[in-house]
Amino acid sequence: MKTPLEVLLQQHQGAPPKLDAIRAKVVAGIACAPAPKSISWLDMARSLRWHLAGWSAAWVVVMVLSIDHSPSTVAQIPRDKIPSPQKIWASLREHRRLLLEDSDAAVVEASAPPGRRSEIEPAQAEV
Amino acid sequence: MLVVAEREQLPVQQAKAGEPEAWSVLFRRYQLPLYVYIFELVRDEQTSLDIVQEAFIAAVRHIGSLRDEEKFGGWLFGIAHQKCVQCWRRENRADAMREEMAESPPDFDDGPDQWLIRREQEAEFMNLLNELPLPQRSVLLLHFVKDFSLEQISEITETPLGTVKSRLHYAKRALRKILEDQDE
Repeated sequence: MKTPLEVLLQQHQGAPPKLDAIRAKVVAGIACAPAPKSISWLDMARSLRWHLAGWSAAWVVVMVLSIDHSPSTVAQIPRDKIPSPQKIWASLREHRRLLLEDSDAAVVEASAPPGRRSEIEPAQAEV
Repeated sequence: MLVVAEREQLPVQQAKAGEPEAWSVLFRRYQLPLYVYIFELVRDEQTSLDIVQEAFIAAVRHIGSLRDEEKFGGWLFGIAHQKCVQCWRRENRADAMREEMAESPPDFDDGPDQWLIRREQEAEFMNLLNELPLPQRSVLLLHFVKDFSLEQISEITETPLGTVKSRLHYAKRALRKILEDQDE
């Protein structure tokens, strides 16, 4: 009495030597194949050097094209040449005085201070 | 005679690392049942040997896709099964694998699974195996050759579990009938 497996294996008694040959052939192929080695960051960077160079060049071009060549709107004044607030105030007063001198009417109007309310009202009352 | 402890630790991890000796151990363990399975499906020695070699090479190439190392055997038989299907396609026999049972799946009370075949029944057993439709033959062989579970057979043949149960049931029923007829 045999099990089905035994009956099946009995039918293929001549197969093992051929299967051994196939196994040896495939295993020999594995042994000949280069073993996968660990890749360091340096190796990876080296393998990608052309890609990295290309991307770097592309970014340089983008940066050059995006630089703003228009003159700066803010004047760069050295700190030691900035006048003091007193000088600025005096300069502004002098500037204002010159402007007022150019216009007599403006000077009169500007220089004549308004009279006291008590002095103006009687005159208006007479009218 | 193939006698390998089922719980033996397989060097799948070492094989994944590319160790030739590990592959040799794995192939030695599975080569004969794999060949028997393939031969009984394609019925040609040279084609069977070619498929075994192709399956081995494919296993080496795709071992990275194997997640559960304990399923190496089923995975290898799955590769071989697909190679057989490709072979049938080349020979325009793929339709044979699509044959399905006409009847609805039965209750799976197949009784004790201890098949013992007398010497005078061996030839009849092999004849029956050859006469079975390919889907039933495939399932029955996987059951006999490596004692794969129904779930494993389902994965190997990429067939729904219910279909596998049905095929195995009908194949066993046919086999039992042959053996009982000879007893009478």
